Amino acid sequence: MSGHNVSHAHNKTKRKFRVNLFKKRFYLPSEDRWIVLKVSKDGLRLIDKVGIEEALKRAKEKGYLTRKI
Amino acid sequence: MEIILLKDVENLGFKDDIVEVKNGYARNYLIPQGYAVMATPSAKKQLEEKLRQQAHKEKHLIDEAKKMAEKLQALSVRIFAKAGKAGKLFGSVNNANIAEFLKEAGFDIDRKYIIVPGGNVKRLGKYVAKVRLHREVVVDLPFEVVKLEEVQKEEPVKEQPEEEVQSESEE
Repeated sequence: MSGHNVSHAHNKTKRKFRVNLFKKRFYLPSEDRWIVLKVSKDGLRLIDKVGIEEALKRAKEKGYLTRKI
Repeated sequence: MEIILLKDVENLGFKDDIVEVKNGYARNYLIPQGYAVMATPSAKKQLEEKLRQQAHKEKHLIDEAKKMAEKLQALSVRIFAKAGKAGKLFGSVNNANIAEFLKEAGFDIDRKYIIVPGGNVKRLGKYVAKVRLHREVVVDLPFEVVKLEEVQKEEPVKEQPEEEVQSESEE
């Protein structure tokens, strides 16, 4: 998403709102292996809240898992 | 996050405890190494079931633990330690010291089941420690830290000032 940096003198400059993404390894207890996911900081909070298995299920339903894991 | 421990973990708790820990500790260490599982509602229900089924078998263990608890409370626990001025100890008294004392009194309790307030004690006085004999039987054990009196050392200290006074008067 893009928007403006608005200064005190009301000068508008274009800027982008970027997502806080990082690649992180997660441990899957059911399969006893590690998988690498590109996850946002809020995605990580979701995983901490519901568990990695449930989070993966939800991501699959939304069509986020394009790469084969 | 809340997790269910699968094994005893130092400074956290014992098996089948539900503990609150930092997310990173659980996500990156405890769960991958197999020390714990996330405490989801379904996992909690499973744990409850397991505990209820075990309750019948554990009943006699709990009774034994309660008997031991009564014996423990009848003990008067006094630990001698070297101390300096104002009651401050030179070393410290921790759960290993208490475990040793109890061993001599006839109770073989592992030191990790004894919890001393604040980890260790550095002053003389009376304190209360908790002893966990069984997951459900936790007993308060009051103990007292008493100064170790060393009678032999006092005499030479008394003699010296007398000698000094004599030598000064002679001069």
